[in-house]
Amino acid sequence: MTSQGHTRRGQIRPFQVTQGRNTQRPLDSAALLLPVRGASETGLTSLGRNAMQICTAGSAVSLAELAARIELPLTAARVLALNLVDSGHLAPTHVQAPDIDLLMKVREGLLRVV
Amino acid sequence: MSYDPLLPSGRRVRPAKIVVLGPFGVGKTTLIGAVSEIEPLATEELMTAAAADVDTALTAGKDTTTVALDFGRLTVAPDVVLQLFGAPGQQRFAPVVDDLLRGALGVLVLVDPARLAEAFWCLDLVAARTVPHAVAVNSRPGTPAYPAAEIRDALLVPPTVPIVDIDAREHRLAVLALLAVVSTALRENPT
Repeated sequence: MTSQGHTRRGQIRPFQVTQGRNTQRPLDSAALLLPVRGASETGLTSLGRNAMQICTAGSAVSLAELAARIELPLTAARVLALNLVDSGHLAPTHVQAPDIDLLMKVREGLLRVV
Repeated sequence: MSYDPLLPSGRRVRPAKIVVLGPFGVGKTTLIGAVSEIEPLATEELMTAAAADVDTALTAGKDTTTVALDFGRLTVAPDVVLQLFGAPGQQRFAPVVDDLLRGALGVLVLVDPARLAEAFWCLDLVAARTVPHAVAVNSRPGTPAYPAAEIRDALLVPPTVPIVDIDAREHRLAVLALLAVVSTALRENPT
């Protein structure tokens, strides 16, 4: 077991996030986390409010972006995000096998910035 | 649970993902930075050493290592956000790379012409996973340019895989390299 750190990246925070719960349901690091309009923030932990602020301030924030901005490892950020999905604060858009429509939109978008 | 769609049209924003795969120092983060609408960010993924269940690893310990992943994003359509993930192209990171490949529309294999052998594992992997891919040759300024045919030969890249010459720092060339990946994906898409 590694030593308990006191920095933001120390081991204390991931355990605080998960409160011992450890289920890793699938949520790709590229999945988008969309804030649910009208969801009340009362009862959220400060970490939860922080996460909601990040997801609301950005446009279509991914799990990876949330993890990076909130400075948590991906696995802990995933649990945090899934908790907020379960409580009705975030709606995830999962990564799916790409279809022609998606590919064409990516192509057109890239051509526009070439 | 109900939610309002993010967009007035009723469509939800969807993620698209391209993985930039290559060995350390080849220029993955630079390339991502040349395209991304945000500064490249870094996140940590945990990887367990042995057959230990990855679900139990929340923090790094003696059986886990953290892998830093650089990524960026580009909004390509009102309802599509392209995510670019840099993946370390070494055998020991295979579980993390496989995770990243899931759902990716394609892979850009970034190659240093002076260190071609380091790309072999990457090319083996994308071939084995049958994921659409293109190769980008990142030439350092001041180093000799290698003919594309020689690179294709040395890497045993089939003619169906585009090889693009780039400078990872240049926005336009980076975008062209990503377009090569998308073109391949379109050609190979079964739908």
